[in-house]
Amino acid sequence: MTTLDPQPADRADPARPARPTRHVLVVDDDELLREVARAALELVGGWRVTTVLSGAEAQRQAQALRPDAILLDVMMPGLDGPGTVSGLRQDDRTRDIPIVFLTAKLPAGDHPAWNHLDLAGVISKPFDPMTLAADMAHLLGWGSEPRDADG
Amino acid sequence: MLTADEPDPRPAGPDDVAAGPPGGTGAPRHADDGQSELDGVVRTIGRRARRTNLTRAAQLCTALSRAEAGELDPIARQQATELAHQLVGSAGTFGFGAASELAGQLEDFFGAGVFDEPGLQAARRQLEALGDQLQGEPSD
Repeated sequence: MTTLDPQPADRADPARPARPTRHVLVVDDDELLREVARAALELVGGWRVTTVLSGAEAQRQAQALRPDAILLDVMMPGLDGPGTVSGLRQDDRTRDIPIVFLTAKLPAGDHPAWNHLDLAGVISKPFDPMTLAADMAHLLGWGSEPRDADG
Repeated sequence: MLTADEPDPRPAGPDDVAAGPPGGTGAPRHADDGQSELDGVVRTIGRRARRTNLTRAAQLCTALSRAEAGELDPIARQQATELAHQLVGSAGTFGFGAASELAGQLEDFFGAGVFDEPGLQAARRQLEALGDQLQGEPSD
């Protein structure tokens, strides 16, 4: 069960209930890319982020944490991105978690080999840290996220 | 055998942070604050990435020398391909777009495994240009 962290009430309307924080699991074997993705999604997206460095660990943490979405590198040693997705789709606890691939392997719009994986989308590497949260929100259909300029 | 990057010394596992963005759950922050802070963070991480990527480029140089000598075995070739692939993502994300493109060409070169003279010469030029780019300042 994903733990929801209530955000402070909207500045424009303090009476509105706080919106829960999205929780994203970031999976990449490159330590520095994990760090910058975490910073981008936390600082601009305002989301809670957990990072892991392998597909196998991603499956374990997805089962335990039930994140709202997974940002998943494709080329990793051991269990790669597609293999990780296949495992997640076979588990009732994780089958419905939306997944976005992060990859330098193919352009974002050209990935017929992945059609059967039911991905929410693909973000190409190199990615722009400044727009990563917005790109993910767009692919995931997360409304007006990331945070508005008015807070 | 091509030496791969040092493995991550930390045990595989969640690298969790405190819930919510830095600054706790106080008053909502403006998007600019997040962007400004992110810019600083990216620059800091980028300095570390530059060192890592220069090391990767040096390892590619070793692989290319072995290919030129006809001594690059399949495992080392695969490692070189992966190194180049890592450079594509990392160099580009931290502002070295031209280096990222050159790394993509080198990934294709090592991945194809065809080491004829024109290909080797082109790869050597690409690798030298890649090193020059990484030695400079991020431009993207």
